[in-house]
Amino acid sequence: MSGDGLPFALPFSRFAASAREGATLFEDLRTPLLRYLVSLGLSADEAQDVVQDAFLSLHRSLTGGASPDNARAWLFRVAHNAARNRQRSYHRRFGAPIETEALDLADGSTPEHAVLQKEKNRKLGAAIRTLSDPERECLLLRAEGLRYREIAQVLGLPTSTVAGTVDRAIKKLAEKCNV
Amino acid sequence: MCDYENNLIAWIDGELEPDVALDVEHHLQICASCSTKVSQYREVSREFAAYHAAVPVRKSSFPWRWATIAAGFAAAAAMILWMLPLPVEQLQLQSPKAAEPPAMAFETPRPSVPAPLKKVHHQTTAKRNEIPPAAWTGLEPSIEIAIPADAIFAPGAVPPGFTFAADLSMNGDGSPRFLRVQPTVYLK
Repeated sequence: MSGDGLPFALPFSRFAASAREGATLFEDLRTPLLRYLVSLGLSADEAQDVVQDAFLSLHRSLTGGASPDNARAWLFRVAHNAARNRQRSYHRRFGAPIETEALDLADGSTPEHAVLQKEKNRKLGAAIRTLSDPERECLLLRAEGLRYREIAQVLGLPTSTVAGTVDRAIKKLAEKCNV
Repeated sequence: MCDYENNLIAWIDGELEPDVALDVEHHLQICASCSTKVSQYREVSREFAAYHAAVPVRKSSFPWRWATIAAGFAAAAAMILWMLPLPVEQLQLQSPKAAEPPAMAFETPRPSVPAPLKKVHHQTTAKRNEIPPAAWTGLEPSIEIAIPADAIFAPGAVPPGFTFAADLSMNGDGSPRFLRVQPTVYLK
């Protein structure tokens, strides 16, 4: 279960014009799905399992004749529900102090800058912890590039509710981080 | 508090109807407060995305898990060897075919070092090439022992759907021909 590939060919013809594009779809969505799940509080191992299961479900659903019209939203929805089911300490991890060394190194050319960046991340982490579950989920899915309509599909909410939730969450973060 | 304030983030995200979006754009040209807010929201969105992108998604415990599995292989092989009625050396001395060492040699499972699953797969394929497929299909007397993964490994060490099969093949005279342990993945 190295996660580097699928042990079968997905019938991606409904979404992709060729097997090549189908493979790209898997490559494109795998990391975003993993990142979303880890941010929800799953361990990397759990996330790998859930993502593998999500692609298997898609495979089953397609071979069973169903045709979800948006593979991205569909996969996120399956992964989200699986995460919900197996996650007991659901909102434990994201927003907890994470290893942001990668961020620091990318931006920080000087030690002073690195310290500032660290402080910024600490503030942002604290602000994220004040968000409600739906607020955090909306922002995570938005950060993965999903449209409000897709986020609504994933979370099972009306699109107007998603718009309101994103609006509220960004304003909260902006206020708490004083950017 | 400006009337447009509740549309700014949806405008940044390109989620407004075209006419409403145009209205917001016109407003932003004359309202410094809303322009500042748009910059703030963009900045905090960018920071959130960067924070989220830095979340590590790789397995930190990966080598350990496979070390556990490799240890499990060794344990399974040892268990099955122990279950055999006679030591290998003694069998070799007593067997009429003792002059043919390859027929008597045990094929011990190879993954004794931690190896990622991919490599285990490769080794399995290589084994398949060494031994004709007929060896698995019961043409000669053979004993296949299915070992639930949970019986040899720590709970959670093996992904769901994995089992291990120990295949013990005997010659016609009852002497062991080969033994191997092979991981099997069952996809639902």
